Amino acid sequence: MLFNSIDFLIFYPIVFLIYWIFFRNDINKRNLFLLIVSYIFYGWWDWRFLFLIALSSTTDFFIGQLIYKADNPSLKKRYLTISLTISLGILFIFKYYNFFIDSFVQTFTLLGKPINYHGLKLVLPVGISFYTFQTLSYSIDIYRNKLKPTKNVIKFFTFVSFFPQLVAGPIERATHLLPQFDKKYDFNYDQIVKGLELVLIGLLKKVVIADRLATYVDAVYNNHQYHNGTTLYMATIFFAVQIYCDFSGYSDIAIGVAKTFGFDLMKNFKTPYFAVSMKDFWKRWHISLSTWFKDYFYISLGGNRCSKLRQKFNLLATFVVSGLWHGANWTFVIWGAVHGVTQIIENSLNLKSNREYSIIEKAVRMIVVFHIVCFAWIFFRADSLSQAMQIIAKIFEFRLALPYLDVVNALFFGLISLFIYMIIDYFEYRNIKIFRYMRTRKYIYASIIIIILSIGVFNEGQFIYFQF
Amino acid sequence: MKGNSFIFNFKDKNSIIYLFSRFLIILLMIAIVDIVAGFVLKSIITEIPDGRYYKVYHTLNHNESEILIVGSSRGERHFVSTMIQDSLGLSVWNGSRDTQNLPYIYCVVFSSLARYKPKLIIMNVEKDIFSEEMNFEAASLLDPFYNNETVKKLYKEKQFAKSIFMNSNLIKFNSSYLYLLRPLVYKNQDGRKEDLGWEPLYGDFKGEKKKEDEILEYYSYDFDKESVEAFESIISELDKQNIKLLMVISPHFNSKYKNSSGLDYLKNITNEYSNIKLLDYSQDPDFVYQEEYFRDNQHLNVPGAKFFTSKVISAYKKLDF
Repeated sequence: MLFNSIDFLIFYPIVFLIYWIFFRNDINKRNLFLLIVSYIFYGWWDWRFLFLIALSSTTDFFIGQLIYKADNPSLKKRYLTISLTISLGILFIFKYYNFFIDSFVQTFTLLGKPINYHGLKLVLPVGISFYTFQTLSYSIDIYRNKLKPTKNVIKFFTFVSFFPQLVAGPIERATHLLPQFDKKYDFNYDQIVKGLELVLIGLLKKVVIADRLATYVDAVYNNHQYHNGTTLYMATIFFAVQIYCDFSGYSDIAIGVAKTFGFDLMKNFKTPYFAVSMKDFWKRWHISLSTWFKDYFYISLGGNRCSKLRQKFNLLATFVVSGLWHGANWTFVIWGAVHGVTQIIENSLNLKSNREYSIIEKAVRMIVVFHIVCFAWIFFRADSLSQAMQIIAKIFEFRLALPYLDVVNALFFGLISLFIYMIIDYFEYRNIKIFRYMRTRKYIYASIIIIILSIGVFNEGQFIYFQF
Repeated sequence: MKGNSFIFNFKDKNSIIYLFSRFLIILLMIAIVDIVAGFVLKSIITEIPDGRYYKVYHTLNHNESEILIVGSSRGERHFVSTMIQDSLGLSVWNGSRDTQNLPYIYCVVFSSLARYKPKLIIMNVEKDIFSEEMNFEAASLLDPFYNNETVKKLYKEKQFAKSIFMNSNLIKFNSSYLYLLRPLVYKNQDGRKEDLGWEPLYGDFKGEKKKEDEILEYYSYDFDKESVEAFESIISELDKQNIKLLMVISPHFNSKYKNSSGLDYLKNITNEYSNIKLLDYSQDPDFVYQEEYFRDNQHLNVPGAKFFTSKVISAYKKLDF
């Protein structure tokens, strides 16, 4: 079920009412209710994949207990290895098997020894990377003695499948989310209104900004060979804003919906395009994933507590694997590598200092970082490496030409969307609360809904991050 | 009791009813804006001098030309209405629209038949006309015209959920503002009235010049049920009212296949109905790979459209209709 679908428009108010009217007093029944509705939410795409999420939950529930009870480190490690093998094994089969097999076959073909082998015909289960990482953090935290396993199976299953953040995050840590299923929540008007405000902003970002910009981006990127460098540059800038609003819009809705049920999810974005260094960018972009990789991958490799060369390797490896997490394609690997390499360069040149900058220096840094991020987005958006290289080559010709104007409606509304994005992010950057004043906020709510109804895209467009 | 007060206590801020009362106030504000916006936008759509919304409005509600042309962008670009009018001595209106498919054609034909009886309908068709689902996403062009009975009927039958949202004027006119308001400031930017619905495409060829490596002799595809139903209901109504239908497959710069299951179906239709004829120019050597007649691989430019229209006219005159 998509947040921007009619199905969800019906589903959410029903669940909200039943939840608050019938289940607010009994924690166990409430958790069971949330589990059932979360499975309905997920099963709406394809009910067969419910078995997968149930398998993943069951495995980590029992192995979590075993890791905790094991009295010697080697046994703990063995149980953790089993948990990682099962979780990552499922992820590998569904997401990466064909990619590695294809790459293997292509390599042999290039070497003049073609292999006749075809991959498996598998559909990628929605959100598998997200919930796998969430369950992995549970097992690893128990292994690291940061968390006691829960004995309540319903609670654990609900933690894994909690519908607001199930398919595209934020990737919650068990230490943060799991205890929230033990608390009783009262119907708190202010809290619910804050949640609905986030839902509204998230919808604005998704259907007005991201999906509007997508019209122009798709028109250009799908026929990149016919477009000049100016158009491709502009479409890349549009894509940067599109993917940010698409994903942060989803996160806002997820956090907002959870808030209306009393739950608090972690913030996933903090105005990333205001970043003044690449390191700063990753403190602001997809925070739940970047901190996950830092805590569970980068530190496991040795983190900063090793030689300078090894540190660089760790950083690069973390970003390459992070790229691969996004998708089974070399374009994502290169996207991750670009981020890794630029951070290594930044570290080497000591450009990431946290001192105060003058306004001009800050602006220059923001522009440079934004353009590096956009450069990497080309790989992320392109269907293949060759397409990405062709686009980059055209942009770097630096030939001034008029951008593509045939899709004037898409461009017109794209520019309006860009303007709305700038206002939203500037307000957030400056910490200006537009919903602060009681007297005016109902007019602001109404205005946002009117904008959504007037220029939003209602084709129930998929969120980009669902494919990961 | 505590439960009831939690749900129904208007004075308690932390009650469901209080939340819903606030929600209703906002809905009321939106409804007022929606009604006012609807009043203004509906007035504009009846007053705009030209452009795409004028064209659709005129096609659905007012056109009574003796020859009606329907189709997608290829229909809109390829049939020069004034040439046909001058040559056949019958009034002509090209009601085709860019990106449209069978839902739009269905609405144009049935809303026209509800008003008058054209002598001839020229329908630009494709060999793969039934390969896609009825393209309702593109048919959102019809949203502002939801009050038209044919449009309303189609939406209710095929897109019931959407038809509910069509009660909102803001949704109905969603994203239409640029093309709706532009003709009030700049005339003739988006189609001239005197061209009678024809949308000329100026300029030289800018398409893919590469020839197809292999042109398929036959392309077989699964028919979309809804598309076939819509098409058959048009055919059957035209037959009932004894209205002539000329189906035309326009030229492609780079035609990918010679025959298809869709083409077989269209040919069978012409065998079944005496009031229906088919002209296929998709492989016409006068056009295929003739760059001077094309703007891109799918669309003829102005010289191409004029040449093509003249060929259709002479072929029509020779037909035993």
